Amino acid sequence: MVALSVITEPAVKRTKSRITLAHRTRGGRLRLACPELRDRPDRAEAVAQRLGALGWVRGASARPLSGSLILHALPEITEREILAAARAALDASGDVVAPTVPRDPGAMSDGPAWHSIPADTVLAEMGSDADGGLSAAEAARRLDRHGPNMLPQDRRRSQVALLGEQFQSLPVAMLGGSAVVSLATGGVADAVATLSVVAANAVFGYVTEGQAEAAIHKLMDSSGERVTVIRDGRDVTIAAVEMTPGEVYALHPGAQVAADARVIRADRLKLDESALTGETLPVRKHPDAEVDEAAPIGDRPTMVHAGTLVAEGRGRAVVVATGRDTAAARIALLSQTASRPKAPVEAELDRLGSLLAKVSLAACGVFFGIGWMRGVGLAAILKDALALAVAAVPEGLPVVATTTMSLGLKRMERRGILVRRIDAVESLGALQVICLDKTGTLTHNRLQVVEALTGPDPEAPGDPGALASLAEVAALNNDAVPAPDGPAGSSATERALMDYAAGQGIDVQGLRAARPRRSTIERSASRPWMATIHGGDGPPVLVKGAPEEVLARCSHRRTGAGDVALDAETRDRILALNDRLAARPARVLAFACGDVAPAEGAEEVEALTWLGLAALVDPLRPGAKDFVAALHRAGLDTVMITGDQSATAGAIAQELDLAGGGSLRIVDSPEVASLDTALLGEVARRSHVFSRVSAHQKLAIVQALQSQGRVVAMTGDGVNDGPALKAADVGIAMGASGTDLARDVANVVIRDDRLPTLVDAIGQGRAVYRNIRRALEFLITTNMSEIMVGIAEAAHGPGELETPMELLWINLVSDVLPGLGLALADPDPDAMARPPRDRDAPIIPPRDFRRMTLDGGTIAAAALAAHFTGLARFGPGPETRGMTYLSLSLGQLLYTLMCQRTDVRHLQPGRLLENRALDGAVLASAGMAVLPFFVPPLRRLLGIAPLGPGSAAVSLGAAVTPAALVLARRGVRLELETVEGRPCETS
Amino acid sequence: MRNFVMTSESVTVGHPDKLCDQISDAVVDAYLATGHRAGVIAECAIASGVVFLSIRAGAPAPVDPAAIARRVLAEAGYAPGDQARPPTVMLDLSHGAELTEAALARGEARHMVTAFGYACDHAATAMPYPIHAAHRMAQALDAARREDRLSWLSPDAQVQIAVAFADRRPVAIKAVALTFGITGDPGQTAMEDALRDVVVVPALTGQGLEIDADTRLLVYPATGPAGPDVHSGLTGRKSADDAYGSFIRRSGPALSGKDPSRIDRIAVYAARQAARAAVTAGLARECEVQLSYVVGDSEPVSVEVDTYGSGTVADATISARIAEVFDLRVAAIAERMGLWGLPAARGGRFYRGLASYGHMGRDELYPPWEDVSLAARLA
Repeated sequence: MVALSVITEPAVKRTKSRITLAHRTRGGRLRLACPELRDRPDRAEAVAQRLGALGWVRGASARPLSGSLILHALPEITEREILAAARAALDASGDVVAPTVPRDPGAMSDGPAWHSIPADTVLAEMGSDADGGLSAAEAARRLDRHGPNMLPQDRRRSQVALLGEQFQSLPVAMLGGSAVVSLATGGVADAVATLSVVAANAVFGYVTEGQAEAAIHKLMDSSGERVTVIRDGRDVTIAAVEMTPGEVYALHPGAQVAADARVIRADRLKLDESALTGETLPVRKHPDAEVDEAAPIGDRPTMVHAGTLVAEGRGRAVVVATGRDTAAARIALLSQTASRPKAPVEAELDRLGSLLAKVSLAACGVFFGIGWMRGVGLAAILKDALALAVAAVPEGLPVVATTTMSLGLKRMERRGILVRRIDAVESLGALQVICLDKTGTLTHNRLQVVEALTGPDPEAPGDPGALASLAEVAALNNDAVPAPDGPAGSSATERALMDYAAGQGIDVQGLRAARPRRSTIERSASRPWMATIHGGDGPPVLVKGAPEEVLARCSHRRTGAGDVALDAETRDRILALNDRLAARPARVLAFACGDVAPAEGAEEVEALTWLGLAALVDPLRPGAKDFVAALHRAGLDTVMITGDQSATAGAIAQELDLAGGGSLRIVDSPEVASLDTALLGEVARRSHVFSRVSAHQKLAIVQALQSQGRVVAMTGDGVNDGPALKAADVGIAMGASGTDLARDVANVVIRDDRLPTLVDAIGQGRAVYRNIRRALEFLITTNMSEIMVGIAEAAHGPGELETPMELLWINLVSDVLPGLGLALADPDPDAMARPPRDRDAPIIPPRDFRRMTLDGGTIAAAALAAHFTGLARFGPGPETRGMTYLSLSLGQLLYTLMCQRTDVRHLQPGRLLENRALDGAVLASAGMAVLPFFVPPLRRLLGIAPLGPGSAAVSLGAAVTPAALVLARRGVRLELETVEGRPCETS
Repeated sequence: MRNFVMTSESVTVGHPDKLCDQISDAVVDAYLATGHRAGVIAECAIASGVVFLSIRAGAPAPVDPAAIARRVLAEAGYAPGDQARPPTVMLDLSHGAELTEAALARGEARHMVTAFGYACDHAATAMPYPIHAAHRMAQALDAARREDRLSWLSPDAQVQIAVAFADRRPVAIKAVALTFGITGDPGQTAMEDALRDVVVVPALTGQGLEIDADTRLLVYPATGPAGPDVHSGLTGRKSADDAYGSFIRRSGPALSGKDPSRIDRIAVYAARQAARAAVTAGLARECEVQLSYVVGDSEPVSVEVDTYGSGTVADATISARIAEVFDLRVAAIAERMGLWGLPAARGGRFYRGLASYGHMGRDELYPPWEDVSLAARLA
């Protein structure tokens, strides 16, 4: 284990006694004592996560209360290795205390600084050979030791975890509680019935989420990816997951890099590292470059990193880290430390749940008091209290909520939007702000040259001679490869420029042959221009790059009258022209040539002749503007995030009307993350555009918006987007063009990258919320009627109360289907023309609560009418219970139809039956409700007796009354309010 | 005898307030240089190194305001180095319906304005001596820093001067105070000597008064480099420095960041031109011109002159001649001075140059209001 010893050496020296082994079982379970972690749950969790990510650790958990770590390690790992790794994890966790700020992954590196070690040393260290590579046997051995080359997240959520999550909701907990009470009071049948509901609910959620998980996993399954490595001196193609440290990697254009590797040979090797660093231009790699140990990940010309792409050239590299140890994996780990807020509806249901629990307790207290005053025995009181508890808990709620969200998830999936967790369905509906990537999301990400000017005159292209030279420079000072079907390789910019040159009638291949490139001064982060030195006939030095930088190196400019010296005024005018082009919006590059070749190894050019500017444009997608308008209509704020300069970003924002006609606010900052959080939060809330922002700063923007209490969505596709996607309420990844990591941490994946489908999805999400809300209203109203009936009966006389099984039958059997029927309603046609709901508004506002109490009272009164009729005829007993049961259950069912509109004023008697699913559900449930009357065992279980025609008629009458009364009240209110002339609210 | 001490101040290009003025005027320059003829108003604030820039315009123009702001900062000496990050710029871009070309075509005053212009014989630029001297020292500070003659001097500095007057004529420099940011610590005495030799003495030589043994030279270095990371700035907060250093009355509005349709800006220029022409014509040794405009009018409601008793003819005569010779209608001022076209004619940079070291008496920039060719017609 070469790597391990190198990792831990310094840690051992520094911190000898911070971690001690407290206990180790033969099965591999260890307890490590670590006083530093006591009462530091965040840090303890981080340490456990780091250890859990190691290949030989099967499981790791932290016990911050006692300051210890529990590990399950492979038995062959020695105590020394374990302690060393734990210390390393502890050291590394010291800087994860603030878990939210994205760090440069290089800074978090816990491996040796391979990038600053000479290639030969690395090869020796890894026990590999540049020409021979590893032997197949050695590779197999190493694979065994280090495990497959997979990202730590590149595994499905474990099936157990997925199932386990289904039980972690409050309504389910309430159900569980009621089952326990049932058991305690001897109601085994009740407990079984309740627990079956819990189980059915969990399985349902499990299956739905499992399918979504599988669909997303299919999108990102990279196990089929093949890479070329050297084994026993020959090129061999193997699966990327089989790569191991020490492997010699053969890099060729277009290859996806699958592990971190030290470059040992390079022939004009350039990598597209945008997914990892956000840098869009390919980066040159060189085995002999001297790199500082502390160099950030984007500044390591000696390394290729997993997740990047070979843009051009060829090379070999020796793998130094695979799977969990790669830089990309470390970013993934960082993503884990960002946490997604709870879905808004979940939080609301929790709140409602605790309210219901209180109501339930209070009702039980009332009961207890009544029983005590009457001198009833404790067992009997408990039994009654249980009946009431059952009445108070809306047992059907979890099923209805889960189903509603699953159905929403299915509908979205049909539209190409994959939702990983069902609660994200509702989060989509609650969205308030959506952060959009400009490139790829709003635009095509296909550049083209739209204009070339010599400057400074903005109206005329200028001297044709200068423009012809410009086109030649565009062809020669270019890393793209000419190909029959258009230029290949390198960046979109280079390809666009070569296209332009070819369009100007230049024979690129011929010209390149006539003017061979002798050397290159590469573009870099600190040098925003590139110079190539050429042989052949013509100026030897050709330069292209950022206009300000190129202009600063020019002494003359080419005109029809020869080269003339540049004066300060012309320089200013050229810069103004640059701004003007940038504001079109376009990406602007300057071109120049020089007669004096720089000395060998020099990194500067001067005394250039200015040729002109070329403007490149990435056109907007056709539907982008409508998409933004649709989001605005739905009351969503849009924030565009782009690396462009502010003029470009501003012009696009104007074109898209991101400000909705108001004043456009742009934050132009290369370092958003370094701004004061409070300031950024305040600013972000009011901004439309963040310009010159790189991918890794998105997290700061998301968190700033969330700190203002907004529900935020973020789109992203790069590895660097991971933390932001994870932290957003809704992290949206692209299914077609994004990286696996982005898809993995996102909770919504758009299969075909078409954002407009998102508008639909948000509409669906809103419908889901509305439907859950209506089902909830129905369930709570009917439960309230049960509580009222129960209290009235208990207060009136002993032995009158309904049995718990009766109420459970109503709640679980006859109420669930209508609840589902309500949940199936289509979205309102105007769902996307209204603002998003207020995150902090209660799911059921007090005003609606009052109405629901009234409705519940109506149902209860009708049922009690039946009850007292029965009482008069039969006295307390099964017959009376039967009458009450029939009127209560059917009364609730008919009331379902009244719940189709939140506001009774919108109930239209003619349209009560328009939801076919609901009609079916009501019919089926009515069947289920009357079933016990015809099945004797069920009848016995419920404790009711069959009814004669007279009794049945009374009960049925009582069942119809509540719905009729609600309708009648609607008519009265409607009239009253028409008179008052108050506008109707939307429901 | 009318004896008093008058103080004036000037700040260098790196002072946050002046950075804001320069950014605002650079935006106006950029808009007008593109041929933009609708109105544009740019206001800027800097705090904690963050630039807030609000632009209201009557029509869109292809300019990059954030790039302009950064360019101004870089040219003022705050180039992003290895440590310093490029500043964050927050933009607020809005459309002003009252600023469209059609709306401006009426050529009416949109504000009530009383503008003052002044000229006197203290210096060749016809500026009062205190502000003239203060600006010269600020310029000398900037030049010394730029040419690396004072390596420890940060771009953010302030100059104040107290001048004794006898019978409204400057007679002695009572005190000069320099406040500035520093990088490193060269020591108090070394700074005092260097500033005296490199800045104060050269700047004041040949300008009429010299510092002598009685002049107090006060040198107050800040504890660090100061600048926009440390203290905040706002457009228009240095309006005394922009005009006559409080030597005469002045109106409050900022000059920078306003297009030439803004009477509160151009009336100040017109008044200066008239005053300087009157002094050049020999009508007075010093002359204050006061122009008042009422909203909706195109002409000034009053043209008032005060020569503080130095006139060779009655003040009322001078004001009558000014009203006769100068066309002081809103649109006519901009027209006569070519205020819309100047940025384009001067390579995209005209107003920005005025946003440091004052708008008046800047003969080296050839602003049209320093043109006194109409003086002959006043005499």
